[in-house]
Amino acid sequence: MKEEQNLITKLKGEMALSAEESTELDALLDSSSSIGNVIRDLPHEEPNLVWRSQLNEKLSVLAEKPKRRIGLWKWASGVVVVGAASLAVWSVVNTRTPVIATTNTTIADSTNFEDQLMQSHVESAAAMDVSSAYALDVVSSKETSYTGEEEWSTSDLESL
Amino acid sequence: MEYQRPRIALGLLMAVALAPMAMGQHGPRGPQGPAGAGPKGRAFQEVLDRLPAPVKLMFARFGKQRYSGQRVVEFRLDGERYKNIENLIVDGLRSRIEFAAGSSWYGQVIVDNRNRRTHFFPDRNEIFVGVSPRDESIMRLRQFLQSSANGRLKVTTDNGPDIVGRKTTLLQVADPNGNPVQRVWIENTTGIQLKREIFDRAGSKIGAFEFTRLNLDPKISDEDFVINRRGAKVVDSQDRLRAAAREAGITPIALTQDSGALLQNSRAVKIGDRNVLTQTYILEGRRLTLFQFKGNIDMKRLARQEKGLIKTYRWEQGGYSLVLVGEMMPDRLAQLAKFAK
Amino acid sequence: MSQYLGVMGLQIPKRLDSETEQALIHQCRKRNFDAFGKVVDAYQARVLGFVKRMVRNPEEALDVTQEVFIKAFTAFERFDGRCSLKTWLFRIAYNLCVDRSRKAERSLTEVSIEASDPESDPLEFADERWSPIEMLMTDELQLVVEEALRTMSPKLKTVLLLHDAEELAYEEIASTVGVPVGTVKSRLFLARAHMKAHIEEYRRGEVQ
Repeated sequence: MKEEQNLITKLKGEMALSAEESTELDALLDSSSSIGNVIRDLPHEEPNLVWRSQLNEKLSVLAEKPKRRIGLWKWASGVVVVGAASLAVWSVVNTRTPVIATTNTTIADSTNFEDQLMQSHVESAAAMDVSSAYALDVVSSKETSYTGEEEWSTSDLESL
Repeated sequence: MEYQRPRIALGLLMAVALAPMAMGQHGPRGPQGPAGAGPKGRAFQEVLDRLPAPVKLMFARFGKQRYSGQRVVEFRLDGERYKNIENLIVDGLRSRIEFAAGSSWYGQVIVDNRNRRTHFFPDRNEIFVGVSPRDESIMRLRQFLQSSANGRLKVTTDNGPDIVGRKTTLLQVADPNGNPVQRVWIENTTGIQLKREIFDRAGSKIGAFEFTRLNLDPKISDEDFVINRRGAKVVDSQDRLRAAAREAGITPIALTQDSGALLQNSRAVKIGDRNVLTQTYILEGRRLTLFQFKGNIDMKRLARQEKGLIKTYRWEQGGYSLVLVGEMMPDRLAQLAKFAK
Repeated sequence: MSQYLGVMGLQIPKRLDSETEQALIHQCRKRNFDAFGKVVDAYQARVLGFVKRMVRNPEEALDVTQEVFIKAFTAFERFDGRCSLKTWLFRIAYNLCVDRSRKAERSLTEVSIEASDPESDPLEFADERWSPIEMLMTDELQLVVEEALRTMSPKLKTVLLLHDAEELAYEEIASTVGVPVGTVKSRLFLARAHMKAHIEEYRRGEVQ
């Protein structure tokens, strides 16, 4: 006990430790790793989008400063504008085409497995909050999707 | 208008901490629940009391409204994006939804008749029969209001724009840095949600709906809440679980009914190169996801993904790794895991 | 009738694997704005988390975090890759926090570990109650931990955050803070002891 107190006094004074004391300190650090887990689990909050937009503005000014190859820049800008326009058109077209998923969906391997599990939970909860339907497993099948041959005869929409 | 109480007194926290088992188990069935039954209920009521009338109406009238309309719904799931145009009729706890042309789920029909749900799938002439969702989506908003009491979330309201010609109030829930978590536009006189947006931690919108038509005085008959399709195959959530498990090549492990959790859907999902069986449950107004797969998982990494109210519990069973994810305390998740068979 | 405008499909920031990180570093050295944006996406929350716990004012923390990334962007050509990108960013963050503290001519509130009674603060961890399940973070526990961090000396807090939250190696922390590895270990132990004492009080319901 006294030795332990001596060690603690030394630690507080940031004094040099003997080999035995260093070993003891390593053991103490090992045994206190659960406290480390508490710190590890502290949440990290994303800065808000305004903050990010301000940062982007500052960075974009800095990014342009050393580059003065006007000709190339203009050409590149043109490409970017055309590219962005194409992307925008593509996005609009794509948005208008509803996705028909197969039952066994592949999630793109763009993040690690653990991140994707959590994202899957978050997305399915959100989907059920907004969509009314919870039978997300049967949203469609691998077979040909419905073509509208059997229209419903109910007059529900008359009441609209 | 901002309603954010300063950091809660630690003394109160101690009181909450002394009853950890009570957390995550209060589970009131009504959207408002027993507001006076415990610190969380009181916290919710205190926050609600300071919010404008349309927000109070939304909670008070949930499950009691009568209207028809059309709304556009978008959401993201398993890497895909869906868009539906829903024609819906709502009469209290009864509702009918038809998915119009242009929808990802075109032709499908969902009827909720109090506790029973029937969902018709025309492409395979199948009717899924299950339990109707109850107040899960409004419960989520209730939880947000509770969380705003201890400063973990900010709840603000403002006048919203007219939607389908109706005046609205915007209820916004944001994290402490101001990043939106959810936004709801509430019709001022009825409390009906006319628009809702849900964001993930990265600020991406992952789900949204908005009404494009609304009739507050619709003609509704009992026949609206019936689906009769001759020759349609009837399946339930257990059938779907077996089918999804077959597809994933996994012997399914599921939470038994004794757990109190209701299975809502099962999906076979490919994540990276792994087949994962995903089951979604409802318990006490909260959504739980059970993931089952072969191989290990980096628990440190998974734990880092735990954000806000969402916690995880992982165990091994029958040669599989199982991970239960939900807005519940870890010890509650661990208890539920014991019901996995 | 209002028109519904679909706005789904925004990209989610991804965690960087080492291959992607190397490619980004290569681009960032050329002051590539987009590549650096991905670095910001990957580290902004963690850097803000560190800075916020090192400075008192949340607004100041946001400013300092911006400054971290601006400094990193302008100095990327000098990043030699001898430490990881993350370590480098946290080194910048640490230095900026220290600068701020000095410039403001104030030191961060320090409640010395010496102030606690060694008898009542046994610095003992062989306690089975501290099982992983016990240690899982709850909302309430988080507040207590944040409170403990607020009352911890900056030198202990720095080491605790860099080691336990950011998982930097002892050697990396030593070079960041400018002290020997042994001192890093001592400070880490004392920081954990301070944290443990605070959590114990919380568990006993004694924190007012």
